[in-house]
Amino acid sequence: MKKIIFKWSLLIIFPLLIIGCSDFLNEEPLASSSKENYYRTPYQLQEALNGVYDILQSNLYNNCEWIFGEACGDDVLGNDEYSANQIAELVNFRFNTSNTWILNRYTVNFRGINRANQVIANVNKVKLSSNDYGNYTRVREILGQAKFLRAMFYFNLVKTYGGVPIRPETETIDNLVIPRSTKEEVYAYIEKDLREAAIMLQPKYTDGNLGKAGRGSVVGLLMKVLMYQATPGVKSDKWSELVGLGDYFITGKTLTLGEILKFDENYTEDWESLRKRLWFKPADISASTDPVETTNTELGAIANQYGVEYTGIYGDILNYWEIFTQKGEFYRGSVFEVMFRESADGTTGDQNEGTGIIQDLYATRMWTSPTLFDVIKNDPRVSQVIARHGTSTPDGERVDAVENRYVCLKWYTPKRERPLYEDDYAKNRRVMRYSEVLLMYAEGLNEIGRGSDALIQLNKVKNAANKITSIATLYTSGGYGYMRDQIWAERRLELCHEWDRFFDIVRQGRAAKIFRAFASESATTHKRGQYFVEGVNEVFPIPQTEIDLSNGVITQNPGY
Amino acid sequence: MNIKNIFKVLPFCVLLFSACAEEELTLPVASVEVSKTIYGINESVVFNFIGEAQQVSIFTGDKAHDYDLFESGGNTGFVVNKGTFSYSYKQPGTYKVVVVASNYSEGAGNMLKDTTSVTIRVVDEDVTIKALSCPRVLYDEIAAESMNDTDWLVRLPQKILFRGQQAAIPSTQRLAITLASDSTLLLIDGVKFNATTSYQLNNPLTLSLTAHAGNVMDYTLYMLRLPEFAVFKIADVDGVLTRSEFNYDKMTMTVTLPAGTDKTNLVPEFALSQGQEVFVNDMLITSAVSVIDFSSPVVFRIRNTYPDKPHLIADTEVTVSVL
Repeated sequence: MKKIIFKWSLLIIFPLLIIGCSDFLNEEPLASSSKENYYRTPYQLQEALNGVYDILQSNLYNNCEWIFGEACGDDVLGNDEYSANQIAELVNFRFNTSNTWILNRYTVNFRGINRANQVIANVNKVKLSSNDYGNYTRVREILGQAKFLRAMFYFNLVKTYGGVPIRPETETIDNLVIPRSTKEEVYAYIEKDLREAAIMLQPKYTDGNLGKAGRGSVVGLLMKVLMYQATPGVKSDKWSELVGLGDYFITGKTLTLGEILKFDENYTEDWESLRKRLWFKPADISASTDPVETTNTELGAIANQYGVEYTGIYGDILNYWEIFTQKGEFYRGSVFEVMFRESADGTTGDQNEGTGIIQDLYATRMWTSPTLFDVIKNDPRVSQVIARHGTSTPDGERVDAVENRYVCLKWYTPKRERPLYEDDYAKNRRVMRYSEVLLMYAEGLNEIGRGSDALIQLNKVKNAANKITSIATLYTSGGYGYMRDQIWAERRLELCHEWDRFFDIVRQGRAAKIFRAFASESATTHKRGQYFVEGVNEVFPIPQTEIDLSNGVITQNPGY
Repeated sequence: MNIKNIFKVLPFCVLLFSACAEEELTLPVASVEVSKTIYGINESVVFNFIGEAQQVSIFTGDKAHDYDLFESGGNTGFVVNKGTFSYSYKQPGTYKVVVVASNYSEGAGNMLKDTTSVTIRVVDEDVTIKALSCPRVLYDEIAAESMNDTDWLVRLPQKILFRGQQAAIPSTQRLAITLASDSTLLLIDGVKFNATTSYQLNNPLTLSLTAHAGNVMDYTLYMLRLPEFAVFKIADVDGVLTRSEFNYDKMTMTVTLPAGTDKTNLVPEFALSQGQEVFVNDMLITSAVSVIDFSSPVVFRIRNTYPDKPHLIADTEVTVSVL
C-alpha cells in the first residue's frame, strides 16, 4: 500500500516540478548584451572598435604579417627555409593550397573585417545623450577608424590573394557563401572607405588617444593603395591622385572634402545624406556655432604633424635605431603604429601584447640576407640597422646569433626596455612611417614626369639618414628609369625589415627577376626564390578550405 | 533462466557482437576526372576523384612527384582533400598522373590500394613579349612601347644631360627583353638573342619568337629619335637650348632679343631633320613664315614620324622664351 501511495505522490509532484520550472525558464533575463541591444552608447561602440584594433595586436595577425611581408622577401634569410614546416614551404614557394599560413592570413584578416563590419553596421543604433556637436564627433571618429581598419584588412587580402569576397556589413545565415569580387572592385571598396575616413578623423591623435588612426594614417594608406593599383612606367590616374594626396600631406597644399572623396564622380547620394551617414551633425539641427561642412570645406592640414627627422614624442633627438624601440614610439615620423603593452601580470600565453614575436625574429629566426648587406654596407644607416654576430648592438650588448650572420636591429629590444617577463616584449610595430610617405610621393612624382620634384622628396629621406655619419652624398638628377631605380633603392634601405618587402617587389613588377638573382646569391647555399613562378606566385592561392566549403562558388587563382 | 529473460538479454548481445566485429576491409576504387587533357603553362588542372577510398593521393608526374620514383627515388604525392585537387605545371611536357586510392584498417595494420592514371599534356604556345627596353642608355633604362600586335617602338634622345655633361646617345644599344615564357626561343634578325650584345637600332630589328609548341611569332622593333631643332633663331638671334635632366622629351630655349623688340609678331626660323613637323597649339608652323606671339613662353611640339608608319611617332616639347 505504501508503495502505491509513494508512486502516486511522485506522479503528482513531478508535473508540478516541471510546470514550476517552465515558468522560471521562460523568465526574461533582467540584463544581457546582444548584437541587437549592445551598441546603444558611444562607449559601447568604442568597446567594439577596440575589438577591431585587438586583431592588429594578436599573435596570429602579426605572425602572418612577417611571414608574408618579410620572410617571403629577399631581405632576410631564416631558420625556417631549411626546415620541413609550413613556413618553409611558403618562403620557398613550394606550398600547396592547404598551407596553414595561407589559411591563417585569410582568416585573421576576415576576422578583422567582421569586427569592423559590426561597428559600421550598428553605428546607427547609438543613442546620443544630447545633440551636442561633440557627441556626433565622437561617434563619427569611431566609425572613421572602423572604416580605416576595414580598408587595411582588405588591402592585406587583395595584395595577398587578388580579388576576395566583399563581406556584407550585416551577415545573414542565408548568405554565408559569396563569390570573390574582382581585384578592381576590392580596391574601389578600400578607396571609398579610406576617402570617407579621411574626412571623419582628426589629423593626428595624441596623449591619451595615442595609437588611434588619424587622418595622416588614412591618407598615407590611401596613397599606398593608389600606388599598388598603378603600374610603374604606365600612365595612370592613380599616379596623379597619389601625387595630389602627397601635395596635401607633404607640401600642405589645400584639399577639400569634395576633392578627397571625389564626390562629384563617385557619389549619387546628396551631400547632406552623406553627412548624416558619416555622423556629421545634421544641418537641420545644427546650432549657430556648429560647423556645417560642405564639399568645398578645406580638409585640415596634416603637413605640420609629421617630420622626417628622428625626433621623439617629447622632442628628444633619437638615434636612427631608437626610432624602432619603445623610446621611439610615436616619434615625429610615425604615421601609424600597432600598440602593444606589457602584460600587467606577466603571465605566459598572452596573445595580445606583443609577446615574443619581435624578440624571436631578432634573436633566433631571421638574419640579413647577403643581397641586402651588399647594398646597405656603404649606407650611413648600416650600423643602426644590422649588426654582425660577435659584435655589439648600438647600446653595447653583445650580438649572439650565428657565425657570420647579421641580426636585424629594427627587431632588437634594448636592455633598458627588456620586459620583466619574457613573453611580454611590448614594442609597438611601425606600420607606416613618414619616410615611406615621402618615398611614395617621390615615386608618384617621377611617374607623372615631375622628376625634379621627386628628387627633392627622395633626398629628404637620404639627407636625414646622412646625418647619422655626417656625410653629404645625395641622389642625383636623371631620367625616369634612373630616378625610379634610385627611389626603389632608397625604399629598400629605409624600409628594410619592416615586413613589407615581398609585396613591394611584387607591385613593382620585378619579383621574378629579384628572386632569380636571390636564389643564386653566392654567399649562401639557400635556393629561395628558385621556385618562384612568374605570373603565378605574385599572389597566393585562396585557401583550399574556402574553395571546398563554398562548393566551387569561390574560385581559385590561376596556376594553383 | 526462463524464456522471458533470454529475450530480454538477446538484443543486447546482438548489439554487442555487431559493435565488436571488425569491419571488413573493402577494395578501394581509384577513378579520377579532369575536364580536358591538354593545358597551358600555369593553367590550373582540377582533378575530381570519383572513386571510393578512405585516402587519396595524387602523383602529378613532374619533378619530385613521379609515381615511378615513389619508392626508389623518394618522390611524393599530394593528399587530396574532399575529392578535389588543383595543380599547375610550370614546364611544357607530357605527364603521367597517378592517383592512388587507399583503404586501411584501424592502426593501418592492413591496407588495400588501387591506382589509376591519366595523361596530361602541357603545351607552351606563348610567344608574348612582356617588356622590352634599352637598359643602358648612358645610365638610364628607356622602355620601348608596344604600338600594336607586332610593332614595338623605342624613343631615344639625341643627347642626355647628366652631371653637367651632354652625352650623345649612340644608336647601338643593348636590349633587355622579358618573354612571358622561359621556354620560348628568341632570335634577333636570325641570331639568338644575347643580353650583352649591342644592337644597331637605326634599322628595324626582327624579333622572332618560337614557342616550345613550335608556333612562331615575329615582332619588329623600331627606333625613333626624340626630335630637336637643328637650328632655331628669331631675328637672326640663335636660341640657347637647355635640356632637362629628368625629361628627355621636354626642353627649354631662350632667345635674347634687343631691348624694346615687339614680341607679339615674331617669325622664327628653324631647321629640322627630314620628315619632322612643328606645331604650336596644334597648328602646323612653317619656318620663316608663321607669325607667333612670344609675349609669353611658347610651347613648340616637334613631331618625328617613322617613314610610312604613321602610328610610330616621337614628340618633343620645346618651350621657347623670348627675353
